[in-house]
Amino acid sequence: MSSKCLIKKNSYYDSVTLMIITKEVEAVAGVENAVVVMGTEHNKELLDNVGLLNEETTAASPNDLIIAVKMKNDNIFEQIVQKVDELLNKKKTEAGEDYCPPTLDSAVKFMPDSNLVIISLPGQYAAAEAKKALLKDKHVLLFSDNVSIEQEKELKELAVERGLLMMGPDCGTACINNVPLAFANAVKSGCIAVVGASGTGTQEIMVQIDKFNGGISQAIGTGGRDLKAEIGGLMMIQAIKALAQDENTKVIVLVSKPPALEVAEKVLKVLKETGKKAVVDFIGGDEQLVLKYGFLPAATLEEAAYKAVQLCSKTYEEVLNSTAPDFTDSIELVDNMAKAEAQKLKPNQKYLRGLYSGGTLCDEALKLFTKEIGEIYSNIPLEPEYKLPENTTGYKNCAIDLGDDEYTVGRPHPMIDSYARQQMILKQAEDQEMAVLLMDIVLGYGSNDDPAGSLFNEIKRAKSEFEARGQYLCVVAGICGTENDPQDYAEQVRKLKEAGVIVMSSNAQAVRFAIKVLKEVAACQR
Amino acid sequence: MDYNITVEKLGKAAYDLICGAKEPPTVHSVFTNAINLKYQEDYIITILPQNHSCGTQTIILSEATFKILRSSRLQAGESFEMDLKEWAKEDYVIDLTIPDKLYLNNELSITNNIKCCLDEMKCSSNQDGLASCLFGRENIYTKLLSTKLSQIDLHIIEQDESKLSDKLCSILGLGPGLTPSGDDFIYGVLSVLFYYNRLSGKSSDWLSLAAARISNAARNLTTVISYNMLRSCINGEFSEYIKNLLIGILYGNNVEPLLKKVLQIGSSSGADIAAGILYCLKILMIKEE
Amino acid sequence: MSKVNELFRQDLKVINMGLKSFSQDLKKQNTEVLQVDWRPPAGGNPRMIELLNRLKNKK
Repeated sequence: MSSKCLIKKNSYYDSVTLMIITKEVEAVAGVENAVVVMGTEHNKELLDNVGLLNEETTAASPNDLIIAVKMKNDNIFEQIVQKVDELLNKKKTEAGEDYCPPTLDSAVKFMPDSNLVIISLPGQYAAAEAKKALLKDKHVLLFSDNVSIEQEKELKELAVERGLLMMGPDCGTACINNVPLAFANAVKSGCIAVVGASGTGTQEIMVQIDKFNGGISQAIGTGGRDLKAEIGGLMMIQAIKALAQDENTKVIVLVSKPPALEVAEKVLKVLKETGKKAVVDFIGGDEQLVLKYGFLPAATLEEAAYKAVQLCSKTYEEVLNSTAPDFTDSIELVDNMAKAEAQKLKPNQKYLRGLYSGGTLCDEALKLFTKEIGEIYSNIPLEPEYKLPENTTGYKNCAIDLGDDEYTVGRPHPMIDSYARQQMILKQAEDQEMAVLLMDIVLGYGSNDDPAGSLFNEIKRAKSEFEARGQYLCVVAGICGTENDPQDYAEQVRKLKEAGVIVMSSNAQAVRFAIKVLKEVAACQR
Repeated sequence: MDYNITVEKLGKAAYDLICGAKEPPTVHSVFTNAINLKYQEDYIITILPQNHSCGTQTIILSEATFKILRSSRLQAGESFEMDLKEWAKEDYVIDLTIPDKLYLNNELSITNNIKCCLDEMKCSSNQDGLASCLFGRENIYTKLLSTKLSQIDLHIIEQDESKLSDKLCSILGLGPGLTPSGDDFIYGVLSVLFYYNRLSGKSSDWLSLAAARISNAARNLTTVISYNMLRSCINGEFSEYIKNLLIGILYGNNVEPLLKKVLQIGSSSGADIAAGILYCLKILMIKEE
Repeated sequence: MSKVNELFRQDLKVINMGLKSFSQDLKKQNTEVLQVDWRPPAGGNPRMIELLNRLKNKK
């Protein structure tokens, strides 16, 4: 083993260059280790510790660069010196990295044929930038929230005037020309267009359409407030009008929380004028109104998807009374699974606890549960009296939307960051009366790289805490994702199953399964 | 030179140096994204393009202006003949002092913010310097750290400025980089102490004294650029991204984007500064418990 | 033809302001995207930080 050093007197190189030198020298065959440091006293002390201090290095000053190398044989040193000189003299290309212009103006100059601007800046600035983009005739996806409704109105009016899409504010999902934008899944291309005022609702419908072997032509998000009276459905109408002219779109799906009546009528009228077939899911809203206009209502997001796919090849009459199967698997199989789960539960275990990352999915769970069983508490309750009491993490039957502001303080949204849900799982596990833990696992672009993996340990721990008390915990998850999503669908399912989770391919199915288990429990107790 | 200079912002010390200078500075060093100018004996002003952290001895230029300047082939040692006084308008001077009208987060939020930072750093920071000390990973530099900094927690809690500065001086100039990791780490530790102290309503005199001792020692123990960085914190002023991160951790939430900005500084410098910040914060949080 | 229908016939060319991960996702899908290195107009004041803090990744 021998060691040698190279000293560059009064040499200043930026840290990145110094790092590159270290890595390159270490990569030379026969080099044991390389220390590239400025010649300060403490670095000399360090060189001494690793046996690299010699007369030359001792003489170096803090402003000299030391390249000290320990190598098997010093005949490679010449090669190293050459290498270093080459690196230090190499002219850096200015355009080594992607150019990121500092303003929208300069970006548009740089990419004049750009057609869509995605904005996720703080709300305060977002509206101004969105307006600039519209004035430059660019379509906008405004992901930010904290934009006032007055600003939203102004932006949407401007967009309509100029014939542009103004998706958002608070638009989390879209898929334009089969490119998933923001939080969206990789789905097959096809003839169904989705216009959604609800992010996770749109995501679930797209995913389920894909599962029923349908495909998406366009998915347009409008932001959650579009169908409020103040905005009057400006963007939903704009989107429907464009889809009317789009020859790739045969069927249109609308999804939104129940809109203001006059807005609903206005939207449905425009939809009627398109002459296209449509499914309208005003989640929990008035089905008669939808039927009056000759469209198909849907009880769940999955059913909306099912009917839309059916409509691609069938008539209204044929589809009207068909409903999506309750489960993908056979009902016998599901019944047996539910029985098996229920039998493992102890008599004092009776409650459902839902921990959701998707707001609309949580809302869907509340609706299905209310219909089948009854009262269920939540931070986003269906009726104010079922508001989850303050400072509780679980109360009777409840389902919590962890994407709600109060749970996201200081952290990214739970679809990205599982922290809040990890903590909640562990807290819930302390409650002996819990029987079923219900969750959504949202895959797709934008979401956590490995949602199942990120919850794996906590689920296992919760289960073992129940076991330690001589109990059992039934965990059910609905996956919102497709096989083409970046997370590897099969692997996500495998991980969940390994953690002992019953995995369902839609939220509606997961909720129904949870209800089945609870009903079994109740039956046993009687 | 006949083009328009666009100055985006300016640190207070840079402003003072420019206004008070009798002679033009000389070019100290030129990098892809930084030009260092030297005043008198050992004062350095760093010129950076947009989207870099602005310290008190820094001038931030518009990207276009920086590129023009960078392409004018400045050579180390030559006199910098441009009229800097044209640049130094008081309007551009940004406030890097510690704000005093904010309310401290509760300990839980701070601890959460710390955890958030640690998670982020664990996977995405450059750990060639001292940053790996946060995760129990050893390299030749962190090996020395625990012995050199032993009992520093006590000195911090007891506000013993002389022992604290002795300890911190023992890592001056240690490690890789143009501003060696140890110096970045010290800068991080001091920033936390200054902020935390201000908030607890205590006098910062002992800290200024410690910072002064350290920067005095730094004059001979590290590079001139590092020395300038440390000297700049005697008044409790820290560069923009560091200031933003500290406000984020101590008074706000959603610290991840703020941390990412810090990690972008230099090659390992940002990570080493952040390491100092988190190292010191952990000590303070344990104390609070 | 409306501008929206024109959009449906074009390749998407995106300018992204804000979360970088959106750019990365688009790049993975071979969609042309330009990231804006946006910063608040008056960098570095506490009010700004407070505003930044309000940015939730998703509602």
